[in-house]
Amino acid sequence: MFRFLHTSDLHLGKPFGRHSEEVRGRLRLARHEVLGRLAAAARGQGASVVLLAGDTFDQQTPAPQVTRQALNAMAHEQDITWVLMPGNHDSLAATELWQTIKRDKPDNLLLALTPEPISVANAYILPAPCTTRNPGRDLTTEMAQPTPEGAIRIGLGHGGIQEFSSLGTVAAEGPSGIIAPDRAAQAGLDYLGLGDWHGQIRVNTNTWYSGTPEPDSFKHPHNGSALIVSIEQSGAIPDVTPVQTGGIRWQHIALELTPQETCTEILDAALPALATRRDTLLRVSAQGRLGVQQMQQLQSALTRVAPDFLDLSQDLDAVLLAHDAADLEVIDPSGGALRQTAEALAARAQNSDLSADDRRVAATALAQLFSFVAGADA
Amino acid sequence: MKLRSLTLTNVRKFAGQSATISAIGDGVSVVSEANEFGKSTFFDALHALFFLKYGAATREVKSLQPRTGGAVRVSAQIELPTGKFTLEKSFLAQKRALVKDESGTVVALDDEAERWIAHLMGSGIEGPAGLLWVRQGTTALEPGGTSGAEKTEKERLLGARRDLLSSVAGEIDMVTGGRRMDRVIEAALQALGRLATATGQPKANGPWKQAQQEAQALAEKHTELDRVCLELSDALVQRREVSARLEVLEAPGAQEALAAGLEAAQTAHNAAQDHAEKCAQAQDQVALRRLEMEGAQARLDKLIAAAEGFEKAGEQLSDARSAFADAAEKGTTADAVTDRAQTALSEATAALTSAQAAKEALQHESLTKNAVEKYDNLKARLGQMMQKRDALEQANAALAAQSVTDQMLDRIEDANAKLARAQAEAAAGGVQMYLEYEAAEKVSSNGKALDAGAHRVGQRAVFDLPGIGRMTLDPGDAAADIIAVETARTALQAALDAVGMANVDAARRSAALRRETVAEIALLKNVQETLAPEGIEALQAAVAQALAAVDASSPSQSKAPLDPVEVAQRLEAAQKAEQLARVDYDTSRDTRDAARAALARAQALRDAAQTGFDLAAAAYGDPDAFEARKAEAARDYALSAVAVEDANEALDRLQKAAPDLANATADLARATSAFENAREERLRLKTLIADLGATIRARAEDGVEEKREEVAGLLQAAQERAARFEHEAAGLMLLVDSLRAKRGAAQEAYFGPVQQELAPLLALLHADAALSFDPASLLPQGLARGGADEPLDMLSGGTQEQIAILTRLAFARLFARQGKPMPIILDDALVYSDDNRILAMFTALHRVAADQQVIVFSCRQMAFAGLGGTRPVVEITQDR
Repeated sequence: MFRFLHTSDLHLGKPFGRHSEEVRGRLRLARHEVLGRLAAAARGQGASVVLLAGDTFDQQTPAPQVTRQALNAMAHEQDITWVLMPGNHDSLAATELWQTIKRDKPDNLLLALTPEPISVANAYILPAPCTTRNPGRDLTTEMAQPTPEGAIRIGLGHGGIQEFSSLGTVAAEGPSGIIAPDRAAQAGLDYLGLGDWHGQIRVNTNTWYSGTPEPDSFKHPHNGSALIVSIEQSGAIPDVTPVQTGGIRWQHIALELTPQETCTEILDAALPALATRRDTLLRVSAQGRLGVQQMQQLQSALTRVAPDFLDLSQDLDAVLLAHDAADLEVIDPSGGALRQTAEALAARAQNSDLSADDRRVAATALAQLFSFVAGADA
Repeated sequence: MKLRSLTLTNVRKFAGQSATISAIGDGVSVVSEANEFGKSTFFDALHALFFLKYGAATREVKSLQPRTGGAVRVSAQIELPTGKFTLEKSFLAQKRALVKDESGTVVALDDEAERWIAHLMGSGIEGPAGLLWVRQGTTALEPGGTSGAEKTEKERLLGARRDLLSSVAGEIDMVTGGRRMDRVIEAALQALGRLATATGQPKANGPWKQAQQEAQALAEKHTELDRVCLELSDALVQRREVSARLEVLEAPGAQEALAAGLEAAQTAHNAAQDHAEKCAQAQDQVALRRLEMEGAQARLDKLIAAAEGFEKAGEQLSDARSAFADAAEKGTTADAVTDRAQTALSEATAALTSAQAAKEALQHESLTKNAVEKYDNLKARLGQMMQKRDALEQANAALAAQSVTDQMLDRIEDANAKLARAQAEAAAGGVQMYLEYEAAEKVSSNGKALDAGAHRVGQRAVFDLPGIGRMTLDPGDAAADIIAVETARTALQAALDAVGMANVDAARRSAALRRETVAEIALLKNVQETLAPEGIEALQAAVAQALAAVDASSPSQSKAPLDPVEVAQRLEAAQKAEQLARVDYDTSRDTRDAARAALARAQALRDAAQTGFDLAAAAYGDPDAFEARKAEAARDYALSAVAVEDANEALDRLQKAAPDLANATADLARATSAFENAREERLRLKTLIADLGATIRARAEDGVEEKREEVAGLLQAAQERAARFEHEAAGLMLLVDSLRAKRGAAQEAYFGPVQQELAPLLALLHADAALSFDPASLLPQGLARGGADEPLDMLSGGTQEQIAILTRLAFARLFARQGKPMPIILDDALVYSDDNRILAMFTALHRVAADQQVIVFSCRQMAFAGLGGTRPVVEITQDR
């Protein structure tokens, strides 16, 4: 039986420039520490081999400390054999990177830089390293190379399969590639481990995208995981088990709001547990309709919980502001100029003859009015 | 409410009296009385009835009390829609307030009455009704001062206006948002001011601007990092390509293949070259054989030519000899002729020489004669010159002695004339004495006997009369001016002495002589000039030269005299003969020279022919051996021709088998260049790889790709932040604009009712004018007319007064619209209005009075005559 951990797309050195300094630091650290967590996960499941199916590094020329610290982390896990294969971000075209790795790699690191089979324990790894950022051809065709009779054959590839969108709603967002989805069958592989897609997806019984062990965006609904793959023998169906490896959670909450509901309650219900918030980047998007006061309440609620999280971003642009008489009564019960202003802005925010941007500006102005009135009355 | 009568009892000047104004009708009522009538007392009393508490003891109330004291009573009959009522108040004493209906029934008493009246007036003086009273001297709508009382009054009036307008249009604060609106606008402006300038642009150092600047800086940084990353990427790609290329070039068989190709090309080239050399050698052989053949041919030709030459040279020599003989003969003949001609010429020359000698002798004689003549001439001239010189010297000497110049003579003559005149005058003066003698004794004077005749006695003179005595004759006044004569004589003498003359005649003679001498001197000089223009020294030199010429000419050698004619004839003949002889000689000599030249040429030809013949003979050689030699030469020629043919054939064979040297050379060049290029290319690629590697390492160590991605993220975040600020600012600007617009519209709506009432009234004075109101004071603040907006305080006092009254009238109209028409009371208003405007104001009052009372108190009876209206009855009765 051969058991190993399949992972990919660590993207070590990714800068996360959009985020604050603190968040960037935490994300980079989590990314670096994932090597240790991968080793622990493998060890915990009785695996001593970790296959990295490409994009281990985010850039063709990562900073020297990124490369060096990654190699040191791998070297530290002496009982783990790491098999490192170039992806499209760290393709073979990154000659400087691979020269450095070749020069400085620890003994427990095997480099899959050519399609030549690599013998690991009782299995053979048939890699398809990315030659360039966009190879333009299916590099997995060379996986059909012969290996000794009875050997477990494990393919390692990087890129999109054909008809990728057929894998599900999330995959529908991904680009279709050129890897044959039945490559495992064509090449007589017991397992084909793929990288490139950061979400974990089962293509078929013996073909999987491991997903990234440490998330880097809100795109994929998982918290970072790898795959423990167990193959009894050549020709057996592999047993694939996801294991959690993520350090930082990226959570996206999409709220559907109506004026009849209490938006803050809906929000509270959707928020993650307190214990996890410190290590969570939360993105709250909302759509639907809310009254002005409700919107204020929602924004206040978000402002209130924001410090709980590593980072909280919100997108409430899709929420239509609906105002009613009660809202306007707060503004101006007498129907005077203040109320008339509010009504005019509300009407403008709903005026489909105006551009979306103009409507948003009107909605913002209305929200500002409510805010200033509240302040004036305070 | 309408006021029908007003009665004052014991009020001010009406102490102990009752003053009543009654029959106050609808519309305009005018109480027009003179000053001191008490109009203001009526106004104040009426004011107190409506607005002051009956129990009040304020200054205003006390001001109504006459000096005699006592209760101050004011009553008025009013008419309401509900009926007629009488309002009464008694101040300061017997304080009371009551309201009675038409039947006299008390409707309200004291405080009740106060409340009844206050309700009637709409909250009393604080109410709007207070707006409608125009006290004398207070034409403005509110006090202008800053005293406590004036401030209070201002507040009161503001409140009254607010109440009035609010009752029509609603509370202004509610309508416009009031202070709440102000706070909201201020908050919005503050928030906006943090972000943007007044023109909606990001404010310097504000968060929006900073976000923009940050985004800009990040964009620039990203662009630069992008460039560097592209450079890195290009370097990576290029290094990969170059490495692949190098790999191909350094492939194991690649270099060997190039080397083998080069060797093969070299071998082929060498072979081609060797063959080419052989061909060249064969060509040399052909050329050599050809030369040999040509040599043999030349020898053969030479032999043939020698034979021909020998024969020809013999002929030429024979001809030359003959020609030489002829030339020699001709030369001899020409020599003889020339000799004879020369002899004749010599003879003719001798004859000519002799004739010329004769002529020269003749000429010599002539020359000598001329020289002598010239010498004589010059000598004579010199003699004359010497004579003239001596004469000139004498003349000059004489001249020097002749001192009387013409000027001097003129002076003498002048003096003489003066003397003559003086004498004449003297003669004319004195007396004329005639002497006639009959005896022998004569009269004498100064011892001098006087002859008979006339004698002028110019001066006192004494005559001796013999035998008689003496006679003194004194001409007296007729005395001659002897002094003048003496003076003239002295002057004359002086003039004569100056020139050394004794008398005038002598001076004249001397002057004449001098003139002659001067003329002679001039003549002598002319002659000298003629004789020796160059001067006497030059003449002397010429004489010396002529003498030398004479000495130089030798006398003729000929002893016999020569006949010039004969000499000339002889010379002419000799010349002719000589000329002929010379011609003959020259001709003969030319002929001789030609003959000699021909001889010389003939000799040269003969010598040349001889030489040629000798050479031809040498070339021809032995005649007996000549044919053998010729045959041998022919044979040699035939053999050499065959050799040439053989050589050509050999060359032809070689050429046909020759490889293409040009191709072999080109191929060798190609193989060599390919080999060298490959080596240089390898070197270049290695160098390039090294350079690219250095670039890549440098960039990789900088982590530029990471930095770029990081900056890209920061840039996006900054752009989003800037966009958020921009959106926020847009929202604030929209909010502020909307708030201001709505507030402005609300303000316009608020003042709409009063504007509506004011417009037709204002049109009576100013066409197309409009008043703008201050939302704070609720008062007119500006008059817009003719396209200009004029602040109210910049208008004339009359216009301000008119606007104030019209505004009150508009307020009154508002009351009327509310169903509460109130009387408008004017006490001496329109004091600043001109005649035209005042009439317009009267019209305005009547317009308003159409449905409410206007009561006007005025002392300006004439001015207000045009107001029209009714005249209430004024009665003053003693108080019982």
